[in-house]
Amino acid sequence: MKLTLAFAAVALAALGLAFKSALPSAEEPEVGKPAPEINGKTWLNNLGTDPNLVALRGQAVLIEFWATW
Amino acid sequence: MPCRGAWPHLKEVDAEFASQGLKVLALSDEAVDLVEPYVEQLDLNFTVAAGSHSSGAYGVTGIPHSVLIDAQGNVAWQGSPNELSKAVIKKALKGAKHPKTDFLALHYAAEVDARVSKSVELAGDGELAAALKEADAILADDKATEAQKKDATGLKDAIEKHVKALTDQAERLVKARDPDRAIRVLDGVAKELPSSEAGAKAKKRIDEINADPKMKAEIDAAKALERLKDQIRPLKRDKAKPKIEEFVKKYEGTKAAERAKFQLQTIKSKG
Repeated sequence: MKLTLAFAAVALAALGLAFKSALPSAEEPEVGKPAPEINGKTWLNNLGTDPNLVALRGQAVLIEFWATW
Repeated sequence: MPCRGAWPHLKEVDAEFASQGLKVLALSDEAVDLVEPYVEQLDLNFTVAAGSHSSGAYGVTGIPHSVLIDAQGNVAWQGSPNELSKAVIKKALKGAKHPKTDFLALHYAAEVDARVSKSVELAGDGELAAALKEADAILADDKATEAQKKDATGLKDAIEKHVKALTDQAERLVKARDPDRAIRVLDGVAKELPSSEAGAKAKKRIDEINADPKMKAEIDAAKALERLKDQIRPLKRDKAKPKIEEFVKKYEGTKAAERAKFQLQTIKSKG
């Protein structure tokens, strides 16, 4: 029984490690460096073509990450 | 901090700097059926994305989170939206172009012959008429190569499709009872391409929308709601409530009345 538990613990730890490495790096982009491209599945309140940073080059862009909750 | 706490700040920033070349984009990871009613009710006037997958690339660990990108496409600032200063925005706007009607802009991604690139650039700035004129000049030039003519034709087709997409969008806005925005799009097309068929059609459509009593009611109600908002801003909740109720009754059936109704619910839930 003890052995099984120990096994389970090791397996869980390994799983946790695997999950951690699978997560995207949560690093902010560097100030002064090119901003990563953005995407949205559906754009609301937008007139014209769907916005992206390449098309918006020449304008300043303020991105706000938010949620309804 | 609640995620939606920054709206007044964002609205203010949008109102002050949009005309100077700042584009405000609010990105949510949530599904559109959750985001859309929310945006509708709050009458947010800047562009919002639903189902976005951008937070990973930006290392977002908590929301709300803002990132300011300068006119050269580089990250200028990032942090909590309420800590973003006007001075920082002004600095990021240095050298920014500010198209009056940015929705006319067409980003043409295809590789083109150097001679056509000026036309592509004009289209990218929303100068569709000038872009078409330039493309036509290439097509009429005997000395232009086949490749140049092919690229010019490709760009002309893309502009035509773009204008069609814009007028389609105006029709969707009419259906969504948003005649103000529909007219804005049609007016942009009509003024940019006054001598084209698309421009003439757009102009005619504006007249139709203005003559439609249902659409007129929407426009009137939207204007009245703006006035009401100014009026109740300094009032306490119990004084504001009857005024909103009166508005809902008077403009019943319009989108503005639905928005006002939503405000009433918010007041009630706050007690």
